[in-house]
Amino acid sequence: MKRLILCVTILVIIITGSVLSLFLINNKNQQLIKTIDSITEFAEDRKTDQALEKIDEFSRSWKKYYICVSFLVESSCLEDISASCSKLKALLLKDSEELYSECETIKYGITLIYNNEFPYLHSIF
Amino acid sequence: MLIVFFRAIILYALVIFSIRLMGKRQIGELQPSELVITILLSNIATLPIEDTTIPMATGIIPMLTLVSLDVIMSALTLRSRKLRQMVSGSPKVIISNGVIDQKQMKKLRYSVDDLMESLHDYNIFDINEVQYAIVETTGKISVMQKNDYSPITPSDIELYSESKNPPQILIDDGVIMHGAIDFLGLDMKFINETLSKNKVDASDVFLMSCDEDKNYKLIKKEDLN
Repeated sequence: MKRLILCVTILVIIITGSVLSLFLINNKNQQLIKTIDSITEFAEDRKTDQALEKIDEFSRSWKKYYICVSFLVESSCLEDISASCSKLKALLLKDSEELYSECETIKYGITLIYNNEFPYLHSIF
Repeated sequence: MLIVFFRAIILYALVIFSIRLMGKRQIGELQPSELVITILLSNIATLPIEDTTIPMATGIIPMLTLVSLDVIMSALTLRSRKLRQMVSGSPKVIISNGVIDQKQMKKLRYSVDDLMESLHDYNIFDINEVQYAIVETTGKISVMQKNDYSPITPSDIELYSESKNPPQILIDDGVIMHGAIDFLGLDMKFINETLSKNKVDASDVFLMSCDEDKNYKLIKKEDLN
């Protein structure tokens, strides 16, 4: 009986943890995407200082998020986003158009984290 | 390298925990569902050990889920005979009254060689000696010999004696086994008296066993230096 209770508890913990992690990922992703959007907006408006500030803010948030999310997601997916993130500052200072494509890559990568974790029928089968 | 090392330690502990969680039966005879779980566990555990890009959770969660489902399924099958038959199947008689059920053997895909091999495990080399044989849900064949070939038991010759539990180990390499003392209904007083009678300290005892009638065997530790 003890064993059965332990197993039911383990299953409940796994299910609760999985659902909570999905909410956490979705919530954090929205925040990160918002920051990326404001970076592109500031860059378009030539507000370099504010854009730099947002890039720093994004880098800090990403580093924290990376540690949490690496427990759940394959690190190769996260490495691509980290690589793009490290280029942002240089691209902004160079006033390069590539900044926008890197921002889009980051946004796509972040969205992919959630999509890969969500149990869609096509991802289960 | 250290990551792989730590992951191997964690997953080793987890596999042992999982096997323990499945219970003692798991180690001996495997039911079909348990066999599947055992094969899956070993495969799942190796993935996060080898590939450090895969999070540990990808290994831990399926392992715990499978083991938990197995335990829950066992609990459910205990309550429902129908479910038990669905999951584990049912035992099949292949020899009854000394006659081999060839149809059943064909159904089970059991060859004569398989049958003879199983009979050899029971020290039976002549099929004529078999009265009844059944294939258990684990795939093991259980055999009952004909009366003429069965070994004589004390009750056959009306030799009745009281059945007793086997002796228990009370001191194992200097360590007193309190569980065994309780099991035999003894106390520390008996242990201390026995030790002082043999002029030995508990820590110097290699093995001490005792039965319910307080017949004991004490082996002192040898000086290996």
